Amino acid sequence: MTYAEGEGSGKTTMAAAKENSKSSFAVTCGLLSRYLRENKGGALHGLAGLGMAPPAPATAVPAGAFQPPTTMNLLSGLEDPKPDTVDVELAVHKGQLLQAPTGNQDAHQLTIFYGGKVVVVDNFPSTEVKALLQMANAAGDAAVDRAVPQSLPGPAEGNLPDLPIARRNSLHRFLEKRKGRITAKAPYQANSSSSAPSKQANGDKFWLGLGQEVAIKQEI
Amino acid sequence: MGGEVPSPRRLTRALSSSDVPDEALHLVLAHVDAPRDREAASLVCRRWHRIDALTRKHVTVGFCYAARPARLLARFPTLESLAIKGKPRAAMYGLIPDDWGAYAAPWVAALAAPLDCLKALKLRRMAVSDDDVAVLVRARGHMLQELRLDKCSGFSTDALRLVARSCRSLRTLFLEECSITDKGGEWLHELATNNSVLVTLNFYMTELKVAPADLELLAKNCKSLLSLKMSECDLSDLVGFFKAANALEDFAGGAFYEVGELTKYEKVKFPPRVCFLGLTYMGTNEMPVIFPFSASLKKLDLQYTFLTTEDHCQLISKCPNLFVLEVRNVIGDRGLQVVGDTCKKLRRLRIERGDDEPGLEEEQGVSQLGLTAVAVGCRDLEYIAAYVSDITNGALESIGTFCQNLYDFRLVLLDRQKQVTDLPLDNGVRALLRSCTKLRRFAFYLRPGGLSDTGLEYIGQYSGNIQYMLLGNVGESDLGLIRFAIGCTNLRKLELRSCCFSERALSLAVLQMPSLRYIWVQGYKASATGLELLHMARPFWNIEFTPPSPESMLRMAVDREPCVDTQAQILAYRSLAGQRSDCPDWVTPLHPAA
Repeated sequence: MTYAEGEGSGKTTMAAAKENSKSSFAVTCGLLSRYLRENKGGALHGLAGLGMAPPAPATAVPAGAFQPPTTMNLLSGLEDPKPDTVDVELAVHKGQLLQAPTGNQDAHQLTIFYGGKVVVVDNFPSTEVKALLQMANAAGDAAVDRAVPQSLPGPAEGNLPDLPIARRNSLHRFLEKRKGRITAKAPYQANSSSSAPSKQANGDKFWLGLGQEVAIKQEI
Repeated sequence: MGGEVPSPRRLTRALSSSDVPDEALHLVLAHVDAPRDREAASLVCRRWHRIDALTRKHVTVGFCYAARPARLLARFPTLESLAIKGKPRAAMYGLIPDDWGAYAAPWVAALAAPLDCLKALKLRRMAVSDDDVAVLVRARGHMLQELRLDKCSGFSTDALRLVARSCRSLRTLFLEECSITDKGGEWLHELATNNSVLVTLNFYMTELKVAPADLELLAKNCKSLLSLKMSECDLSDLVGFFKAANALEDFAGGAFYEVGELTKYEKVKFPPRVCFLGLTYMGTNEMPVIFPFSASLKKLDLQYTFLTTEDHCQLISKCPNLFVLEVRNVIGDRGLQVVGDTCKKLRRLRIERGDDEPGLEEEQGVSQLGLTAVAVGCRDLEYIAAYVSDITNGALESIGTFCQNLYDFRLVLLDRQKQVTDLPLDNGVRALLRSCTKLRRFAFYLRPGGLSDTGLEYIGQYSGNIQYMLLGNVGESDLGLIRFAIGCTNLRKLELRSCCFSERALSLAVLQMPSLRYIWVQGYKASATGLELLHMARPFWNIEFTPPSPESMLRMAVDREPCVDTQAQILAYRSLAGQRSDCPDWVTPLHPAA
């Protein structure tokens, strides 16, 4: 929420270098925060039970890498986006699947997208895939139906985009004006431009004001 | 802040809450300025959070819909400076219609509540009305020292008159690239008569017409005026202003209306301390006005000039002390070679895209040759943004090897040239990211085939401290995006354009990036319903879908030319403010049924 992008639009050249990496101060604060959370209810007061601390992350997150904003006190318990899905990652680890011998002739890398997580398992025996799918299907059906269909006026399905590179507004205006000047300066066109002005030339007249007239005079 | 990170045990001894009195913590935190340090401190415990809030002087709100104004301002009662960003960056490229939102009104209304210390306000890409400015002036006018309206729209010179009349302590008035209704130049006259402390005035890239006499008056009354960036105005009319503005260091704008007319501009003499310069419509014949002081120039903006490649070479060879250089790609590889040989102190280099039509620009733009020359020659570069016609892995690697101070690197590969030497750029980008560990912002916009899934995975893997990324035409499949996302631990803001990813993959990718708080996407494999986007739904996460505009669909059908807003857009962001209530009817907020 209150994140600053430091340099802003980068007007000053030198200002930015300072905050290059996470300072040791920030890292230390992260450590302290974690320590205080882990020691909730200990000798330290002013923390316990205040709901300040987000639920401990399931996996080890580097200190300070991700913390919900502090104003999100009400968030406790809401962090997991899909509490009702089965955690395939855990299921895989708990089971015997990872112990498949590397020499297994029919083992491949398996990538699982599930419940908002991605797991990549090397040497996954193909014989176990079916079992895994059954497990996921059994648990997952309910979760997938949460979303209610909304009809959106979207583009045609599977349509791959063909987008031209956009141009900065300021540059676009400049180039249009320049085109106008070149047109205005070209011999034989100065007169005709007044009789049959294109939409663009009109715009340019407006943009350039005095400039265009002067340029014309000079050429003639 | 330096030094080693102490172990948690030592930390406890030093900082356990009972040992350090509040007053001491106040004093210490007063010396912590870096926003990320502040953020970390506020997360330590409730007491630190409170003391941080009481001592925070500056806040940047990265996206105006991410927080409730009243709540934010109540949290930081001693705020001195506030910056708020509005519309997506795409607005600067004509991709976001004017009535999209990002209204300043709710923020300005909250500022009217007692906020005793606020003296600087910066709004970027927001819709600001005359009424908003009036409310602001009423509440903060007497205190306001800095008002920056950056690429904003919706107000008129009436608002500026009010500011000029009421904000007598204003040091900075910044209006660059704002779209302002011009009701006459009185605002500048009032500013010149009422203000004596102005340091920076910027109405560059606006269409405002002002009287040169008012500028001269301003210079006479504001002895400390250091920077003037203005709209177009013939330079021969500014002779009096330049004579009066003795302290001026920074000038941009003006215009050479009579290209080729030598004598008219001979009497233009820039003030003695000018070292930042950008002159609109400067051509070959006018260029010599810079020569007498070119060696003292630190910043040169040639984006809006008519110079040829040869002119760039000549001029830049006379500017050995440049820190900042902004040009169009007409500079060519030849010009960049001169930059590499001459500008040893260069920190920022921007190479914008010129005209694509052949014949107007005299050379083929910029390629790996020019970029390599710059990388080898300018070792202090911190910022490179370039539109290139060709690029190789080797050139990216050179940049990585020689420019290790880069904190911001942006590369766009133009789509006009048929043949590109060396795609995909997987290994080059890996080498660059591995070496440039200070990178905080990164943009890589290629063409289909420019980066494989493996390359995309490299970007994630070596994303290090990068907080902002723009990627275009990268990757080959959904898997590439997911593997990229897994690596991005610190990424906060991501923009994707023209990539082959499905909605489902986009959703999964969002869930993989723990720090991500903002994503904008245009050009993806859209489904008929957009349903799969809901996989990224979660508390405090808003998803907004914008279908292509009907007008541009029509235009495309008629002209057969792809145009910029014919593709749907997705914007999703973390927010503590709930769904926004001011969506135009062509934006659809997505959320799962309750």
